[in-house]
Amino acid sequence: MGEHGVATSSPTRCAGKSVNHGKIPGGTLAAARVLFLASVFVVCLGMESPAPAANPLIFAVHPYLPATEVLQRFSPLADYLGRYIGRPVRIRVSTSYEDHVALFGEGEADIAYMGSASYVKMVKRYGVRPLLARIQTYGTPTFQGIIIVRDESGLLVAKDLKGRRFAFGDPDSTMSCLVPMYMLREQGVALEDFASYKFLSNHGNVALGVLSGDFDAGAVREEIFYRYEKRGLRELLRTPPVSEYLFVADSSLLPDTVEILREALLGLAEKEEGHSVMKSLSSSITGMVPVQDRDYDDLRRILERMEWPGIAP
Amino acid sequence: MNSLALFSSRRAAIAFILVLLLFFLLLDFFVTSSVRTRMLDDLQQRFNTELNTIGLFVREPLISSDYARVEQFLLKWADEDAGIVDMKAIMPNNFVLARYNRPELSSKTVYLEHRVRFLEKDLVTIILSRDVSGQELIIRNLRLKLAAGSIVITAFLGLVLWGMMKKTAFQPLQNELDRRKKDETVLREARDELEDRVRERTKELNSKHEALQKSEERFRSLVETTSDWIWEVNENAVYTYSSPRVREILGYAPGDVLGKRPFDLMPEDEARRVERIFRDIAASRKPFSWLENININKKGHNVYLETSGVPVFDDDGRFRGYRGIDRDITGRRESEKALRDSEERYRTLAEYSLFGIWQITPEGHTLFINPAMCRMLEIERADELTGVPYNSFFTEKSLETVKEEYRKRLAGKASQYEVELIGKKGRHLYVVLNGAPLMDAEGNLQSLIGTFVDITERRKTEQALKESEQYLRTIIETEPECVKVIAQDGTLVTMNPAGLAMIEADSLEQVAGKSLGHLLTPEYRERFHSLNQSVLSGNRENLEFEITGLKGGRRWLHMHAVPLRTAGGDIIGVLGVTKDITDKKKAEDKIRLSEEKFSKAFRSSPTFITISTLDEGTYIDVNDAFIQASGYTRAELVGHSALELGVWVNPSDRDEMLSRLREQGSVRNMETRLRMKNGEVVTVLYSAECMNIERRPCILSVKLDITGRKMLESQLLHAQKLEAVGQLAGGVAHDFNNVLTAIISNGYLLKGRLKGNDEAGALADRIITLSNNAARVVQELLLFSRKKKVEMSFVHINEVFRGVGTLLGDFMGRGIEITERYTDRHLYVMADRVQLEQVIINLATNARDAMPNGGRLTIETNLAVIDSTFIGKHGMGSQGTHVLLAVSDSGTGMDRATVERIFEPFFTTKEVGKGPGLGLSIVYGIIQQHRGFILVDSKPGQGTSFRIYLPLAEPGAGR
Repeated sequence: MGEHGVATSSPTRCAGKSVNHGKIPGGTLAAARVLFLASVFVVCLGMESPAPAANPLIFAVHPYLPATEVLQRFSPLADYLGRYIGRPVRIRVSTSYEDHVALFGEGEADIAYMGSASYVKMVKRYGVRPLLARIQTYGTPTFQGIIIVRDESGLLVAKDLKGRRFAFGDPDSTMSCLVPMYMLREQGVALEDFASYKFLSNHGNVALGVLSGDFDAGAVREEIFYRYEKRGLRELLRTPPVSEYLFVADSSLLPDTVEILREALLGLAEKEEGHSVMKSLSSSITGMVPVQDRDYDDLRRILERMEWPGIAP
Repeated sequence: MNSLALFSSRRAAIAFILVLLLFFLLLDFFVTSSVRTRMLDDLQQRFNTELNTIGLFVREPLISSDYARVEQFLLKWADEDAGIVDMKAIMPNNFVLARYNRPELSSKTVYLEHRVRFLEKDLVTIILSRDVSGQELIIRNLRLKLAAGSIVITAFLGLVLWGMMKKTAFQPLQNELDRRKKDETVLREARDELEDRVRERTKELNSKHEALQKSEERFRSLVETTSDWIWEVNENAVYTYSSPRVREILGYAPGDVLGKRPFDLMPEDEARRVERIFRDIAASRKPFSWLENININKKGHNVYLETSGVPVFDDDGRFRGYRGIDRDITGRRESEKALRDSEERYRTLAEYSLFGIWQITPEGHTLFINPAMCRMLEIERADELTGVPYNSFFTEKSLETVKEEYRKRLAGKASQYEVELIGKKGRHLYVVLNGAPLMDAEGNLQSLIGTFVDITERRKTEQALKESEQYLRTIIETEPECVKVIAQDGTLVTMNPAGLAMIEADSLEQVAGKSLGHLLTPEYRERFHSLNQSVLSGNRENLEFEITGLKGGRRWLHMHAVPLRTAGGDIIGVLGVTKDITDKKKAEDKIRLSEEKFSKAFRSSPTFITISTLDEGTYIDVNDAFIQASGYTRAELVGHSALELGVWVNPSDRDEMLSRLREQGSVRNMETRLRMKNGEVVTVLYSAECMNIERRPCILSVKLDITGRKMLESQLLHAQKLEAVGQLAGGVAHDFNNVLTAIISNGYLLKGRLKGNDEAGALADRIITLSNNAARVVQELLLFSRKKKVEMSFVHINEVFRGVGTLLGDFMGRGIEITERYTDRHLYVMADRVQLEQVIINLATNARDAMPNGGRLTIETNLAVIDSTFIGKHGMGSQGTHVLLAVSDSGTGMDRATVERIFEPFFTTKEVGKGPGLGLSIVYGIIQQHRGFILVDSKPGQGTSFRIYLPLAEPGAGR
């Protein structure tokens, strides 16, 4: 019967499926025949049962910019990753930095784009995760924060900031809050020295807040400074460089999936499409580089010191 | 009256319509203005409401400092609302939070400003320009429609009103006017017609009369002025009328001929002939024409006349005679005869001409052909040409030439030209054709005539000549050497391209007709000139010379020149073939220079250079340095081998050198020793190369004498050794001296405490004495190592020796004879006198010990000049004038090994206890400190000689 099945089945998969039938005991022969014929019918009509739609990968991004802008910027990357891995990738913009850390830490997202400080916080709270890549801006995988003031402002040194109104981004932001705050403290300007200070949730708000005169100074990452510089900003101070934002994978992802995602990200700079994807993220991004947890040790030390009494906000 | 009324009524109508139109337009204007104002108000209202809403919306984020969101919102809003032309959100500090500008600017905008406030505080001011061109468009359309409507209504109303008015007021008047106008027209037409008829009739009569008059006059003047004689005869052929022209033609007055018959005026025979003809004509009463007849004029010679006539009938139709004209054709007759004669002459000429003559019609048919032409065309008779078109005898190309030339001739340019003919039997013939068209009196082409001269033979010769010339020219043009012709006056006639390249001329024109003498370097100009003279007198010459080209390039050339003769053998110039030999010259110069350089280097080199055969080593040439150093004469060396002369100290060295030469092709710096004629051995660095001289393998060897250098090396080594030992000893001595000082002082202290104990005191004394001895040794060591200070002063060398010499007698002991030989000169040195004395004593002591059985000690002083030869030979010293102190003994002498070590401290050949072996070391140290040097000459059994050289000092020079 088996031989017969082989002989009469149409080519392609019909043959493959029929091979096992040779060993089916005689009692189940009739049932096997029905099954076999059914399978032949299905295959020969070219109607393979459709594969269940792959679960989308959740890609969480912290709200370092207004949510619409984040979505606009990350969509090409999500599309690219989706095509690369063969599963749709859906972007989810967290409501705050804090929320972002919690969301990813508790496994509600498969991939996350994280600010450096958020990452350190996440590891401290939830433990290590597979790392995918970190961005390279202006040719280096590190970035700096800048204390900005208005062009015409008379502020020249750190001490001048005493008694002034200061704008921070999110309290958990690396460069619009934590590292600049640490640096200012090192230079003798503590939070209580400001006349007032406020957290404006993202970098853009800090730049515009200072420009519109509601704040005398503020802290942003360098890329934001360069974007708003022409509209009337001046650099007052510059923080030491810190390892860049990074892409992290959830531990629940299969090692192969992680490897493919890493390959997709690291290979961006070598593809023509990759360049437009990176350009969409930010014009300052020049590539993706491998990343290790120890790249964030310097920042980790800073943040640990921030937790000492009197420093953390 | 009617048109005036029509005109004024039309004007009234236009005015009427204009007023109406103005009324409507004004109405339109007011309507559209009010609509527009209302629309804009509405819009403003709507925009303000919108802005209020926007303000309300941005207030919240601004209060919570979410500037980015506000900026994004405003930009997005402005972008999506196509009506917004310009938008600015200005913060209270004038910072522009958001700015949007739509590039397609509209001319019609409204400006809006909205201030967002919260708790009496300005948050942001939004300034907006909105495009309202849409509204304007609506207004414009409305206005257009209204205007169009107004015109239509005005036209309609106006026409209706006009029609009504016309009917009621103007119609009766118009009817009366029309009737009167009709009557008037009928009257005017009747009068006009009458006038026209009278005018026409008058004109007709006038013109008839005039025509009659004119005709009469015309006829008369015709008769009077015509060149022909007009006559009338009656039915009996008697003249009844004669025009005055008869006087010119026949010499008679008109009256003379009346009553005569025409035959009366002719010779008899002619009269009979004409009368017979005329009788027949007259009988038939027909007109006749061109009847030729001969008349005799009044003077008696013949006049040829051509007579035409018509019969004359009276009103009843009866024949009344003839009326006609006579034309004098005597001139024509005569010229016809002359022409006939001339034609006959030319025909004869043509028949016997050697040139071909051929006359054809414009259509190409032969009119005439002479026998010469027939021969050219290979036909027997002219009729063979019947039906044969003339062009079949021409090649196609020739036909074109003929046509071309024909066109030129018509344009006034006549010429002879060459064409190719093909005979009937196919023979090709080259001819010179001279063609001409023959025209009739009216200028129409009658025929074409051409003369043909056969030039086939000449053409062949020319062709052959041309080919040969071309062949020769090609050879000359492509000749790589310069070919030129110089005229008798020395100027250049021609030169081929290769020649022009040699003298760097761009073209022949640049140099033709000029003398080229100035291109030669001055020393060759005279020779070049005399060469030209010699060639012009019939000789063949050669010359090598140098030129500077027109562009400055220098070349060496070799010229071979022969006389250029005419066919008759007269010399008309110089034909020169010149070759560029620059490369050859350069190569020769190079070789010469190279030879000269080598030869000079060979002769003058201070190193030994020899050339010898490879196999036997026989010297072929040797340089001066080698002759001088070897002591052989050139004759003793050349022709003899080095082995034969025993030059190689170690002959196997030559074998090694040869094997190296074979393996490596050359030998470099092989150290070997050569023996000179006097037996002296010199060390050389031997280098050799193989070379061929007259096909014999030879060796060029260079030997650098390094004997002096070797010696210097060993002396340097020796001095360095002594220096090292001295420093070592000096260092030790210093410390040792300190120890001894302590021992001695403690010895004295001990001695003081042992007073009363003589035995122990003696022991202490012994310690002190021995320690002092030791201290003295140390002092000497220090002296050797030059650690002890010397006190320099000008010292007269002879005095020192004399002073010491007197002591020496006792010191040397018996059996030793002292000879002192002091120089007569007063020689000074800068020295420590005591130390110099020490030197003499030490050397004398050494000499004494070397002569246990007695001998002779010689002390001498002298002046010595040290030069490089000295230094080279001994390997020490400095150039300049020195004082020589020599101390020589006739003692046992020393072998070489001993000599090399005698200045080392503690080196002694004496038994133990006979001194510490420091004596000569001290001498060495002192002389070194005095910037002098010592030479030792000693051989076992032949005594020893120490020669000390100290720099000569000039007392007074330093003071």
